[in-house]
Amino acid sequence: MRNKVMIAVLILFLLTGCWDSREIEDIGIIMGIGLEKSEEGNVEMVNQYVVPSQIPSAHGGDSNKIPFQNISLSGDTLFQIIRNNSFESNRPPNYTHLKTILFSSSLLKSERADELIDLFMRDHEFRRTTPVFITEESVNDVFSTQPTKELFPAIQIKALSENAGRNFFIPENLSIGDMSKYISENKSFLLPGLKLEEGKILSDGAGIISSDTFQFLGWVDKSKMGGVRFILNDIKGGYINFSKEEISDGPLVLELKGSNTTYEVNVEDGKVIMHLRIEATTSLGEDWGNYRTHFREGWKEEIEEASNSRIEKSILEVIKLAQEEYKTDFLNLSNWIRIYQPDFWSQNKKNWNQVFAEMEVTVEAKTTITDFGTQNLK
Amino acid sequence: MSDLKQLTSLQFIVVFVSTMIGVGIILMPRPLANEVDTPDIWFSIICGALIVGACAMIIVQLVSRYPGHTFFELSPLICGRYLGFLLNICYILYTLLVAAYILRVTAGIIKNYLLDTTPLFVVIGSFIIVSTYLISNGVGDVVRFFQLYFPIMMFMFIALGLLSLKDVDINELRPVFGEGIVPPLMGANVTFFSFLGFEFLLIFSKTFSKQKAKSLRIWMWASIGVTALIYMVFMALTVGILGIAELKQITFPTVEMAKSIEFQGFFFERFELIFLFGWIITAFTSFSAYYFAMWKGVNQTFRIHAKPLVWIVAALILGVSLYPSGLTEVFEYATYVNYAACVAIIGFPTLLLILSFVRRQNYAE
Repeated sequence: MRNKVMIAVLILFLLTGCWDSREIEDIGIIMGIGLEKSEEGNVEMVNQYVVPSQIPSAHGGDSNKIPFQNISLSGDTLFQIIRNNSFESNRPPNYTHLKTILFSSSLLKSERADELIDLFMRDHEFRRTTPVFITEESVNDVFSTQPTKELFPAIQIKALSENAGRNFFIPENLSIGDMSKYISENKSFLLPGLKLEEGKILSDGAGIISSDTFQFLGWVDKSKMGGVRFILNDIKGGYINFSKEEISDGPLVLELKGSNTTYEVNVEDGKVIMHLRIEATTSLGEDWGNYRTHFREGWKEEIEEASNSRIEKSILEVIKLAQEEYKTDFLNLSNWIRIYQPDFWSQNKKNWNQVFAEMEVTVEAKTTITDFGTQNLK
Repeated sequence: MSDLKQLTSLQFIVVFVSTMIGVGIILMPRPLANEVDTPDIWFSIICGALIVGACAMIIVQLVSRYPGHTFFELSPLICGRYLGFLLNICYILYTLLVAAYILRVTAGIIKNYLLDTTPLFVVIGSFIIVSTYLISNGVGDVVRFFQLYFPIMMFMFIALGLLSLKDVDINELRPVFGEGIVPPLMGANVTFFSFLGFEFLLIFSKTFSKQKAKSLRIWMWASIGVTALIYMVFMALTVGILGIAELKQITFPTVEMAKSIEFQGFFFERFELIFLFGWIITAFTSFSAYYFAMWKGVNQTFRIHAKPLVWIVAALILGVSLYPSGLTEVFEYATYVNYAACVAIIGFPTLLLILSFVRRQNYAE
């Protein structure tokens, strides 16, 4: 009996559950990581800490407080920098809630992306879902802006892509896991870009990372992102705008409801011919032209035609950029060679970028307008 | 002593699925991707399952000639006292190796994802202590434990499968048989070992001594089938989410797959922790089966039944599992464990069956 009591008392102490507990205020929750080239030539890392006491409460607090603290240090490796954060802060950084990783393009010009993300893939605290971005601005400046809607710049950056399904000029987020996937598959890829304008963070095209060195190669302008996304086949929605000059009695907007790209790959005499077929479903979003009668047949043809050639043009433009200017396949087209021509792929995957530059690409777009809205103005 | 007498068909399947699925479900994708190097690794599972099924049939044949006898009882019966003793010692060593291997890998995963500052021997030690408590009361308790936790295990697998489905990129699984059928066929030599555990037909034999060989055959194929199905789904998911090139580099692919589950705007993250809690039970059931087999072997070979001796067995497992200095060595030694497994689960039963035929022994009524 006495033994049982002893055990019960002992268990009381062993099962308290507060062992090694830490107050949430004492954990340095990191919202964002920024990586930049330091003045000494090595890596500078900005860690955005949450400062819980400064978060304005719902019952009207002082909203002028800044709820985050950026600690910026430089060093040779990221691990070293993270541990050196303790020089300044007593809160050990915790990356389980990391929202954004931001690279500066100048850093990626001199350092390899695969080396820079090693820590993020190796350490169990980082998640594969954290999105990655690239910017030409100073990372410190981006992380110091005060967004209006979100509390933290790091969250604001991540939220930029939330409308990627409504506007195809905004790239979808690329997670660090996908980035690592591209790297292990030895592919070039695009990092979603952003820029600062009048103290605001804006989505701005994408940066190309080359498969040869995994370094920054160049920029894809945001006006070209539509073409990129048609090729990547990740469009969920968007709009196609036609100005007065492009269409009779314009301007006019087609709202893209969905788009599907199918790929056809043929190899003739060692030369790859790729045919992209885009089927876009649209509805009339806005029409400033007053003569069209949408209730009678015949109004669609001109618009569909214009939309087809617009889509085809935007795609060919991007492919030209990839084939001629950068000579690297950042459009993941190799995927379709791998799937449809596995034999050719296994022979040519080593020098794929060269084959890609000489590849012939044809595009055929087919737009259908299914809807025109609830009322016509006449 | 437990009240359990004979297993029903469902209990049988539960026991064998629980022993077969263990660390393989987390570790297998990487060596398999390295071996096959095409997205068809799911097909290797089918090939592996067929080979395993064939091996299991040898064991069923053996068991049905000696109903209710464990490996350790029938080996002296068939090849005499001295050779039988030798075989038993080898088999005990084999169970020791596998038990220690499972334990070490499990501890490695726990240390990597859950308890990174806890010393290794504490993780391993607590695992052994709990398992000792389970196995020291005999086969009935083991079976009941497997039964109790089987639904939890299945729930975890199904939950992970469903939650991951969203991230699957079907193009990663294409082209199907792009490099022919040979590479995935070769993968069978990796997948075979993830079915280890079926050999316990020779250990749990008391619990189905009254069954006919025919029903044992059907039950065995069903167990292997269920296991193969779960493995196939997970292989397809890991390739579909992580891609074959990435899979070759990830230490614990299935956990990483669970780690990539995220629903934006909806606070649902960190599912891998919940999954790991469920998975630890799977590893625990596999480990306990080997531990139990070893304990049974020591019991029956040396004819000693003093319960405190189980701690010696526990100490042996602890020692062996702590021997490798890091996970690199563990994975390195795994190849030798696999060779040992080939001998113990294909070599020994075949040898015994042939000898039994030659000596025209048959204990079946």
